[in-house]
Amino acid sequence: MRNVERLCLAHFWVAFAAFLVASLLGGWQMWVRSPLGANIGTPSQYFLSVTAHGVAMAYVLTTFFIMGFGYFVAVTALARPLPGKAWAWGAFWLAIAGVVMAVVTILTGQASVLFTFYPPLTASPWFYIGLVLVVIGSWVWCVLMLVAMQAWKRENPGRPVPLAMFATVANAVMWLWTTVGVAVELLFQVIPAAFGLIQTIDVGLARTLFSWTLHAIVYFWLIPAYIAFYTMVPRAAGGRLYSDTLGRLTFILFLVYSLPVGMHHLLMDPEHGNGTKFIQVLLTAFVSVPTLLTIFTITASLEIAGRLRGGRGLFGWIAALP
Amino acid sequence: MSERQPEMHERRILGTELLWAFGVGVLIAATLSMIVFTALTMGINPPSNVERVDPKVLHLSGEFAEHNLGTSVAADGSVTARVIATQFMFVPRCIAVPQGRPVTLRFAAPDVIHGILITGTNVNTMVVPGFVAQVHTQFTRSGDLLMPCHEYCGLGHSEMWATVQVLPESAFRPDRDGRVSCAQR
Amino acid sequence: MPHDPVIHSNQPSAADSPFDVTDEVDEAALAAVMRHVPLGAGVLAGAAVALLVLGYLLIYLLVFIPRGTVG
Repeated sequence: MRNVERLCLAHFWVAFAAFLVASLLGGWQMWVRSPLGANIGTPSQYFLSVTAHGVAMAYVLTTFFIMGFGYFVAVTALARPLPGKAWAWGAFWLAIAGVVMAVVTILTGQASVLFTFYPPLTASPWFYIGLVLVVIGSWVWCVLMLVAMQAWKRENPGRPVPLAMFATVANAVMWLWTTVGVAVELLFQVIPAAFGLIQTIDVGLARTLFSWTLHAIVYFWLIPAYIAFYTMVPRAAGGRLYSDTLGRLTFILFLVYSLPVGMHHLLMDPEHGNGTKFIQVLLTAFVSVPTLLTIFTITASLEIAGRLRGGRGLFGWIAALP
Repeated sequence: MSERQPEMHERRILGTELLWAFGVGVLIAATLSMIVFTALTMGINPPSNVERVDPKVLHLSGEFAEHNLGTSVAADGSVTARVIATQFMFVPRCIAVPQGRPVTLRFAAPDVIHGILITGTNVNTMVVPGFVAQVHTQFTRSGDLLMPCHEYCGLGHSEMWATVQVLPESAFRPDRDGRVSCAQR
Repeated sequence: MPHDPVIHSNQPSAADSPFDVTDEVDEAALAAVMRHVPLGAGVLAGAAVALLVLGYLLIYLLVFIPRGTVG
């Protein structure tokens, strides 16, 4: 037996290798003939995916992360426990319920309207109600940020609010204002139309109300990154923020100049005229100022860190950074 | 001395920030001036003609009735192209425009929000039901251009596009009614 | 709540006097360094913004304007 062992195994290995290849091909052949793959690449699947992708990226990822980040800042920057933690958890579960509602309608193909949901395109009303619940959860977060700051101020009269919390509260106030646009659009136009309670919609008004939200929402996403730049990066690099005053000014400028410029998303729209559009362009130019100021302030903060670590010369501090 | 240093630091810091801010201000002013200058001298601005129209009866009569769509040359020589954007086609699917002359494009939609852009040009506008979207331009180069719908309007959105034929002066010949159709190729 | 060294109740800037500071930066070293800051930052940030402006102008003048008027 021994002298044919290798001979037998050689033949068997080839046989089973062929079997593996044939099985893979057989599986693929079944897939091609089955209805399972029929939907892939169709417009209905594609735009369902685009809607799910947009909602997950623009509403769920952002809002949940920023809420969590805000709770972190409120506790660490203020060195005190979060007031109203039960409310915070309640808001979390309310927002989760909203996400589930929206996701179910999207995955069943009843809400392929993208994350912008411009009417007269209409989805299932439960898609919109799901989004409303997420926004309401975030409004509870806003209130908690204000309450936390107020409680710290009462315990620390006369002292400036720590910059990270100052900026977080500015962000929360900005969010409260900017969500009014989309909330009014949903509650008074889109959801009643989706339920069939109204038969016509002023499309220009709906687009304008949504645009109210459109600019400051991206600063809602951006400001936590700026908070990290102003309050965490200089320390992590071993240096210090170059100018606390400019930090506060930057966040105030964001709050003031981001609120009115949503309508720069309507520059190509026929429902508004040149005057409105020019004012939007003017204010948009102003809202670029805090970002341009930040470039200098943060670079200078990192230069301090680099030079403290021994960097010399005009650019040597860059290589010396951790 | 260690008490004065922070004040000196603070003043110098704010001084440098002010210097930088001044540079930023100059930049913003220059950009805005450029925008205003091109608006006043070259007429470059966002399409901003606010004109309401009833979307439910567009096709029945008036300016956007089917026989009136496409490119027409008026008695004074002005060129206007009228197009309807609907789920999921443009009517007409092809328009002819002259090269090097001012052209006015007018769009209307009876159903949902659409948008158009013409590749290789600055023509770009939303088409919102209830309004006529109007864009003035001059086509600088001749050739066939693509005009896709660029605002999601439903499941057929990816297949919704039209052709814009930019014809040199010699080839742009209006018929007796002042209409110009696409050249058959 | 026990004092956590990570938690700081105020964000100092480069101008703060010593008794407000809660980070580990040595004041004397900082004073020495502040003689050079922010020259390097000015050059780096200035160069970055200059590149941005240049890119914007190139696209505006070489792509946008040649594509014809729009209004």
